[in-house]
Amino acid sequence: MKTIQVIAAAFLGLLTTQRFLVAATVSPDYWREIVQADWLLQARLDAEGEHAANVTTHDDAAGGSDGVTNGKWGFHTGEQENPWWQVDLGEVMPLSQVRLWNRSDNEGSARRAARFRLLLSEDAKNWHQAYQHDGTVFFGYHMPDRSPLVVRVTNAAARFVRIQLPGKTFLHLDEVEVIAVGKGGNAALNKPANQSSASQWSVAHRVGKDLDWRQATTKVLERNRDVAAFAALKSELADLPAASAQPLYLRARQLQRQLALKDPLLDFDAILFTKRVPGSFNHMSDQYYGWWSRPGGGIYLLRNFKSDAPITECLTDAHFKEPGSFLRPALSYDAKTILFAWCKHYPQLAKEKDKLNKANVPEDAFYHIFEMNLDGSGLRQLTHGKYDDFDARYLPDGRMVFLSTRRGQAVQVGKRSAAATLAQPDLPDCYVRCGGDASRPVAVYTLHTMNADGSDLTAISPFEMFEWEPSVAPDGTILYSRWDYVDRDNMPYMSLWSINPDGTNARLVYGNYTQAPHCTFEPRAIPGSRKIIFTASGHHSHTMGSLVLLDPAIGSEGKAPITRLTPDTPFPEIEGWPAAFYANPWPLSERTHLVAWGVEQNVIEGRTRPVNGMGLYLFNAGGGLELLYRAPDISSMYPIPVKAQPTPPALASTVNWDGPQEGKFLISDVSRGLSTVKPGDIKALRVVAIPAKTQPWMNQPVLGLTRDDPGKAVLGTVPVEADGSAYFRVPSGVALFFQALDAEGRAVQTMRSATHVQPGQTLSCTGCHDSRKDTPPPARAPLASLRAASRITPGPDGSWPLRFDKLIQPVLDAQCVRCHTAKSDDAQAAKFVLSPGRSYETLAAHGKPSLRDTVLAAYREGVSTEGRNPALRSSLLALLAAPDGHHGVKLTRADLDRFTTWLDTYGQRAGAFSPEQEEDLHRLRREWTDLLATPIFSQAPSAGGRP
Amino acid sequence: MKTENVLLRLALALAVVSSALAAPTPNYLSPTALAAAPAGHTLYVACATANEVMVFDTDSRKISRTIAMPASPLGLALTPDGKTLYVTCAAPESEVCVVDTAKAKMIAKIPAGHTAMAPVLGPDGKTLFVCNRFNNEVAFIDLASRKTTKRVSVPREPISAAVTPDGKFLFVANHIHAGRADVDVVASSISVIDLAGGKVCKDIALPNGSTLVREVRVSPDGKHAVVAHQLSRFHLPTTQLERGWVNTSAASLIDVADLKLINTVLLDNIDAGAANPWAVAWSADGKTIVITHAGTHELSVVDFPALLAKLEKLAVPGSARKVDYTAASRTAADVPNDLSFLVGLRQRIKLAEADRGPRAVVLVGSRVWLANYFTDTLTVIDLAAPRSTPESLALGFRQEMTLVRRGEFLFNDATICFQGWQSCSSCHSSDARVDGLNWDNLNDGIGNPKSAKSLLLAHSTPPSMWLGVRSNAYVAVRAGIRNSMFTVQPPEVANAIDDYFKSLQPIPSPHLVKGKLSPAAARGKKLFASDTVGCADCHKGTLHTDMKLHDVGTVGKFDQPRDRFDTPSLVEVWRSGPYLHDGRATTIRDVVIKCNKDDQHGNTSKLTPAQIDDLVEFVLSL
Repeated sequence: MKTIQVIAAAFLGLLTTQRFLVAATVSPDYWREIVQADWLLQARLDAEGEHAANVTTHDDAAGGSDGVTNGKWGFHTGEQENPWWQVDLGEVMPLSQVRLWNRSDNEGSARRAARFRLLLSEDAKNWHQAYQHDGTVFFGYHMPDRSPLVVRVTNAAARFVRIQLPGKTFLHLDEVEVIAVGKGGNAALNKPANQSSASQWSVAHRVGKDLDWRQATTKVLERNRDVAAFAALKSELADLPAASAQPLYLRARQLQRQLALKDPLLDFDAILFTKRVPGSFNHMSDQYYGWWSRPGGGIYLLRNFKSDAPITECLTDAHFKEPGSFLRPALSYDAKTILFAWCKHYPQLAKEKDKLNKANVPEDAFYHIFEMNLDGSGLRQLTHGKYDDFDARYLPDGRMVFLSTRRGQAVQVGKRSAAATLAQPDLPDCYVRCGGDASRPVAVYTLHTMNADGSDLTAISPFEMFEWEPSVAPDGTILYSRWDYVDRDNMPYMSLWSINPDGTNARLVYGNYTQAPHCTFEPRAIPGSRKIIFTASGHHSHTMGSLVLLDPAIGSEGKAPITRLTPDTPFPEIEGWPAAFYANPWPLSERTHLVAWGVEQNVIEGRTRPVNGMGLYLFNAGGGLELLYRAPDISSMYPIPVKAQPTPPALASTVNWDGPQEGKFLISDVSRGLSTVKPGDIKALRVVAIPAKTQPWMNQPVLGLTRDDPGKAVLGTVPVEADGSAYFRVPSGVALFFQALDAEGRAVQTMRSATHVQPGQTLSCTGCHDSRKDTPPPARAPLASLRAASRITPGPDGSWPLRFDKLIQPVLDAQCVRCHTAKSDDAQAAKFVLSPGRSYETLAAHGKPSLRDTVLAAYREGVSTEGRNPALRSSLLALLAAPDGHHGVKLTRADLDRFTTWLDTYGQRAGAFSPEQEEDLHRLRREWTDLLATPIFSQAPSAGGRP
Repeated sequence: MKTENVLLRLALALAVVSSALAAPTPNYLSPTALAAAPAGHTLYVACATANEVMVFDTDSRKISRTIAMPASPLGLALTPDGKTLYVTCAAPESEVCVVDTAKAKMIAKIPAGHTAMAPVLGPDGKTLFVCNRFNNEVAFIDLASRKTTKRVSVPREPISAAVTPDGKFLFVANHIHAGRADVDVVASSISVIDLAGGKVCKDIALPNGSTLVREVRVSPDGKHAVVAHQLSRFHLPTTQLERGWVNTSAASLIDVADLKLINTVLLDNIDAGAANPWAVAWSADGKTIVITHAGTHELSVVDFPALLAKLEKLAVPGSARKVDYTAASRTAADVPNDLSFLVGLRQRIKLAEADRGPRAVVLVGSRVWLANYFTDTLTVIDLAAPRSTPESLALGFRQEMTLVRRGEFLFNDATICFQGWQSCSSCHSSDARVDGLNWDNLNDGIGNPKSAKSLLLAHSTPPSMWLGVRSNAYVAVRAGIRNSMFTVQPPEVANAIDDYFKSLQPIPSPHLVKGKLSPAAARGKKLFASDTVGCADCHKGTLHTDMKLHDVGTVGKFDQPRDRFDTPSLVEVWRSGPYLHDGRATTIRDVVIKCNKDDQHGNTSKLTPAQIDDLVEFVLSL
């Protein structure tokens, strides 16, 4: 597990021992040494990757004596009786201490070693016990003083030192050090070790072993087989023994580097980049909060990067004297100005227990957007307030798009909601639905735009979950990633989307249902190509991973449209954790990219990544990875070539921000994409708004059955014409999803992702779940388009906002509770309690499959399958809607509609996260009366029904 | 190029540069048709606005000769021995020029109809078939007597033709459909002429929405024909362009043996339109089809056997074949809406910036040659090369475009449109007239589709649009860029398009006789002007419009009861059908008879049939 870090550490050690000047020119000799060390590192990583598949007990055991302590397991046996690990000191020597570094990444694992025995031997046959631990849990790396457990031994001489656990368990320690009498150092360091078994967690630790340099060289030659210059090396290699081939490997790499740096694609002389320490909380969402920032770095230019004497120049040192963190710069199309984000670092802020209270977080602890000229002059701060603003990109029309937590808790999002954040600098945020607390609020950030001077701030997306890493595509749209999990698993759906700069026409580009990779992050259109590069990243990780080429022409899901550019690097988390990560690709062609790359290992969620893992590289998909720059003490990331780029077209906008805050949807045929329904079967669409989460604790309040249910307000239904078309008005700037309803009002199909319109916009779509590859078929004008747009007919009382106690309980009270109480004379009925407070659980558990089963299965499945929505599959509804009724109780259509609405919205207890939000929803209902038609059904539940 | 020509061009080019004020019309070439000599060493290039045919040597890559033509040469046909070149020179009274290629001299002229183009030699070499575009007919010209011996009527504006190698059939592409526009199915067709019988034996309907058909070509083995055209989604309001919501670009494949449409495939990608498909060519082995995209300045190279195989694999309804549910196309009927169908079967090559408006293509061996209308260049691409890199070759001096020329270019340029889905010409054809379709634009609300208007005289006849929602054409041009191209363009784009529209000249009507009104039309003119009939009350003056909105009893079920419609100019009305704001009238006669309830649109009910004939003839002569 740790060997690669050893190599990386040694490599970085080489860096630190050398001399880096401030506005630094690197001396050619030194630079060549660095580059060479990088080649060796790459060869070792490559070899590790190959050996990882076939790990011996010796390979893994080496991790216990490799000198690396980091709190993780250095070796890991399988689960067995009395597992052991041992080291061979090479000769018998008198011992004074054995020091044990336990793994300290979680207490449960550390507890396993609490009763270890220390055994000594001179011949590895006859052992005697020198010590047994008393059951006290001990740690090591994560102790405040980073100290191991020290076992003192006296009168003991041994060549073999063994650690063994009693009973059936796993043995896994970070490191074992052996101190001989009269000697200071660790006698076990890099000595051959062995253990009782290998496990799935075993890793080949091959430090000290010679690499097969012949094989390494062959790989380089193979990669360059079409290049004549390598022919001579090939014939030289033929005569060399494997162990002596290292110089040849280095020469091959040197030649490859020379050729790579002559690539005509490198038609620029400088690279803009950022030195930074990755945030202290390893997670795709948390990585961009100022409170997790770690200090250091700046925005830099790298010049002379094709030479042996690269020069770095810091653009920000002169302006930012306080400790802080810089984020992802952008360069203007004319290459004259740059945008970046910066926050001040407050050392105690990460530990602040109540970050919800913005009084506890200084304004400059949030990332804000700055612009400056490329020569370092003209710095100006563009955003303010207690909101994280970052990842700004220049738009073709002179505005800029960026990410911000300013979306806040508004149900209706747009210019007004954004303006409120200017008037009030500390409005509350909205939060992720699946985790966090007051010390770790996971505040949602979404796309915003503003003028070049920071004015006319606009929230262009009402999406209630995260949006990431926008870039402007050559067609003038914004490519970005978003996390769409309406009623489905929160884990894998960070897919690639596109939106117009005015916030219209958000549409899928790739991966709405694709689970691998988790995150399609850092999308960038490739010049001269219709393809897109992105970083396949992990959910519980910062943005880094494997590089992927996407061809949107092929399709929008699965493996067909993607090509792995780094096939040896797994998609993080879903496929495993790579040793080294790629990040921040800047495409020069489909195969050639500037990237950040480095050994980062699998830092788990919430932990800190290395401060200096990443360096800048020139990557070629043929296998070339050439170091362009690396700082010893801090990561270098986000390379951008300094050269003018073509400005994409500015897209015309028909959004009328000052007009009525509503828009229209036109759906040409809802049955298109559905296979079991005929045109005419779908009678209506249910329109559901998705209010954002207003507090950061998972499943608090408990809204429903899945632990991270979205907020829901059923705005109502709109009619579908006989030809399957629908045309209706909806509030703009509200995240919505639709359900296609049959004649009984039951959802045949439901959306698992959100959509929206902007003021004055009409958005057309083909159908429900139609193929993303299709154009609308020419048939006839949709009937709905030939009449005025429908108003929304509100659903039953208690559906907006959604509340079980108002939607369902009144019917139960009127019709059911007289039999279904705990005190009922009917023993059968008494088992099925429907009185307030108990009815929800009773109904959720009823039937096979129960509502709970149906909802959780659909949640895991992630994809909507028509005909599998709760109301259609509900035994409860079947019972209630039976022609003869249930024990004489016959519910009216209006009452049944309440159940149908409740079941299809996944049977939630509530749809709002707070009383304030509920009041917001009531207020909007009053404000939006013009959008609403008179309800068809009476609001009050019927009282009669019994003969 | 001959020396004197070079000097002349140089002089003209200098004149343009030196005299910005009184700039003479630059001598643009506008290459629009290509013919390759049998050995492939010579290309003939028809230069539409220079009235000349250039002889291009493909080895030296130089122009060896230039042959002057009496009018705009729109089409070329070369005899199989390469000795004789037939050039259709388009005019109201066109001529087919016969060129002796050895001498590079015109040796004869054969009279033809209105706007003759697309000449095709019969395989026996005895007959030349010519499309007389505005006579809506194909002329059979007997080459021995150099006379038109037969005229075959086709639905509307034949613009391209191709003959089967066995000489049995001539496939004729109708540019625009000939029916009304306010119905569910509106599409152009391919007329098949049985050459032995000398008549149309079949009209092969292209899919609903097919319009602006450009070219039809038959495969070398005579088994298939391919047609380049547009597939318009005219039923839908033009809310957006994403995923081909408004216009898509298509190739239709025809089975020659059955005279049936096999299917229609889209040439666009999911996120990138390939607007204005234009010229088509087959490779000699029949394995490759190339199609130019005049709007996005690209070439599609299609693997034909693979395409055919993919189409054949599709389950037909009712068949027992397994359906691939991961594909967008599950049945043959899905294909015309599948933007990914050609993935893996087609290479899409962008031309160099110097090459704009590819409107002709020939394939000689592995080399594709394209003629680029707006930049006076050829492009050559070697498909056998490891990388098919297009190379640009100038035919004349590179000249700055005048504002008018630039306007015409921008009007035809889909790169000013979001994702290249369409150009202005996608609804108004390449010369700013009509596409024969109704469109539901958002400028007057949704649900009231209206026919695309000709843009001739648009700036002289305010207001614009049927409901007059734009006060004049200046406003309309700018709104069109915003609402149809969906982009923001610098002011000079709209300015240039204004100038282009203002430069448009009406084409003399095919109903004129030697440029004059026929006797019937002359009689009709009097009826038109008479107070009793009253046409000229509104269609007044030389532009035949009072530029006002009126209720002429045509408010339809999708209109608002109070809607009033712009009085269109009747200049060139002979080619702007279907008529009325919603395209309900196929002919002017329908306007006058069928669609004139209560004589609200002129007092025509009391006219005798003969008077109606005269009135219609006059209107069609304008």
